Amino acid sequence: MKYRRSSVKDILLTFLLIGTVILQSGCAFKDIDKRFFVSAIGVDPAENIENGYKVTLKIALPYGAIKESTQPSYAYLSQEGETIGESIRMLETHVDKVLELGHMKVIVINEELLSGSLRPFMDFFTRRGDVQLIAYVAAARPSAEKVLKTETKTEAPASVSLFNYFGDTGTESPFIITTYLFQLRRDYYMEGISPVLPVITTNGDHEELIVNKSLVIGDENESASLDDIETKYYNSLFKDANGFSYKTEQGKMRLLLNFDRIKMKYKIITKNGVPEAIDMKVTMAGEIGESRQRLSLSKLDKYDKMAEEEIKKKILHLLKDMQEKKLDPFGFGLRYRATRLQKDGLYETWKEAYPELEFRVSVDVKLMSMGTNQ
Amino acid sequence: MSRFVYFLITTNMIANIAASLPRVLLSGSNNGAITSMALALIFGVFATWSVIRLLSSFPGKTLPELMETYLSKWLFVPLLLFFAINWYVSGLATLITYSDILLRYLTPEMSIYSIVGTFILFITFGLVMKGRSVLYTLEIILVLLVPIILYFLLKVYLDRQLDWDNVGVAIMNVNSFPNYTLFTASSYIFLGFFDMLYFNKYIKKKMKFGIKEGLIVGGMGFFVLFTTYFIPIGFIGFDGIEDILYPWIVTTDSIRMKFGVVERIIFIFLLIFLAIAFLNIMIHWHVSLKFFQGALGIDKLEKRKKRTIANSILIIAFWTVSIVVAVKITEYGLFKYINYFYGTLPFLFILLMGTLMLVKRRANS
Repeated sequence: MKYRRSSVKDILLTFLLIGTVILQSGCAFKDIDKRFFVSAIGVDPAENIENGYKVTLKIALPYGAIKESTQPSYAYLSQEGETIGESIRMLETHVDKVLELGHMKVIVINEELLSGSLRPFMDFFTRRGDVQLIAYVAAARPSAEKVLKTETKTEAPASVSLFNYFGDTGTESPFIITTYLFQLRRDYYMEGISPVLPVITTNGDHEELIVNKSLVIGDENESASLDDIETKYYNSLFKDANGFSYKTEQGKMRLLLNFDRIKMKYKIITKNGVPEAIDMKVTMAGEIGESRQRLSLSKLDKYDKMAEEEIKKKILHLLKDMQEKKLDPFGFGLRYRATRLQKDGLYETWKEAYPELEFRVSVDVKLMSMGTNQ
Repeated sequence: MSRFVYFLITTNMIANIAASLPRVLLSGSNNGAITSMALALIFGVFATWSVIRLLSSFPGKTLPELMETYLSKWLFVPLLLFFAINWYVSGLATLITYSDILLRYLTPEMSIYSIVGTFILFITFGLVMKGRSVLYTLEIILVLLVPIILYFLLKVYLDRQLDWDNVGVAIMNVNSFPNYTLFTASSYIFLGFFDMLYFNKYIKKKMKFGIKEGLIVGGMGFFVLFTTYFIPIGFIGFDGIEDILYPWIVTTDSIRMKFGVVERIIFIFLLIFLAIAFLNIMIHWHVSLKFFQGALGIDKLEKRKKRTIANSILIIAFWTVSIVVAVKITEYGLFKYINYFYGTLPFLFILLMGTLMLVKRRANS
């Protein structure tokens, strides 16, 4: 008998089939109508508990059909506690459904909490398996609760506008820095680079969210904020952001230059094993976007030179400002470690040398066109 | 060399990308990981070469058959039992690691019993399958999944968030001495040839292992080791990576597919690697079961009924041990015992080589 099966196989197959039936019926899995999807989480310092946190959850409320609703609806939950996990545990008793953190995509943290050790509250997010490591992290000014509760005018039903600012999903701008949770963790623990977070602010009547500043987090030193211009330079040079534009003025001339290609290379120069200077080369290519008067094609070179000097000054200002505050959002220290063979005291040498380091920046601007007219 | 040999070697390599190997390697990231990997690469290719070379003189013969023919009983039973137990443990380690990963990331609300239970239920089906069908299963699953894995790895390598400076720091830590545990752990990925000791039965053609085959195996090993070690560092960072329990899972959670079907690529990744791990456990246990059968003389039993009963007892023993261990073991214990298991591998290899050489000498005389 060629096709006879062995009895072991028969028994096993029966088991297998029965087994799958059992699995399908229950699966210990709660249905979607028994879950609340947390879309964003905010952390503020607690008002009543010392060293505690106030956790705010923004929960997207489900509804039957998108067409029926005219505006998005959210529920907000707040709770104070000594730790974040504890607050969330308490919040579970305030609602009738399971709080699901797997779809949480934005973590907003009050600016005041972002200096010194980040460990106590970062740990909660990185230890849980269900929190996405590709969640965006941002700092909030004045408070995370206010940022979360802002329901912008432009928000469409079934979407959270807070998500669209980051990761080039919606708007794209060199002013907006995107930091993922895993990036924050990496840069925070890595010696030689300071993490940078975008800062979210709201306008006076809480109808708009504005993201154009950033915060450099110091582990041992004070954190420092970057204003919008500094953020733009940092983002374009070190994070490959697109859409850098620059306004230059000279006498009566006023030009707005749009750059679409920016390349930055740097090299750490050492002398007798001690870092001495950083040679930075920036190449920018772009076109003229706006001008007050008629321009001449033959003078493009002159406009190049005009821009170069000023851009160079701005870059130097950013670098020196961070150097003074002993912060390194650029990762120079990391590059130094990555290009020298590991030995004891390597990073200490860098740390000592960094405040005295000289920056040599050369900027090469190349205007390719003047737009559509002269 | 037959394509099935490559398949067996590849499965073992891929299954180890996400399992416990990266954690062992990364826990020694400033303690000789790179030099250990380099040594393991040389050793792995050499081991594959020598075993395949020796086996190629006996086309169509399995190790239990060879040992039975040429070795005395008191030598062949304990040796074969040792090989069988060792290979069972290697499958068990993968099984427990993956049920742990499942529990943490995919089905946090499920009980450990049902996770391990479903796993072994399906693996048992693979155990009682014919060896040839196991090989075909292997082929089909690999052909279906390897392109997705390659696409995924391409995505990982081209990701803008992959920080090469961190990788650079890791490479700059090359100047430390190799470490025994790290060396054995990284040689483990080459051990796919071990399955050939049984599956040789289905390969009738004489195998050849020359420079070309050596380069292919070595190249694959290099790529897998490089990926296993350096990619997590690029995403998680060099400092503080020792704290991560499953570096590769955390790494895949850090990769975002902006316009993919799902943004969080981790779920696709988990399913694919689960399939490969499942395949790997199935193959290892299949080989282990055959070794047990050879050592205990089950395949020599005359009556079919007796054979069935003996086999069922063996399979139930497989179940019981795996469920008990999976429930009892803690994460720390798992890490510790896996290190012990890796530590025995060189002895396993030496014993295996000794046996094969003895068999060959006796066969020639």
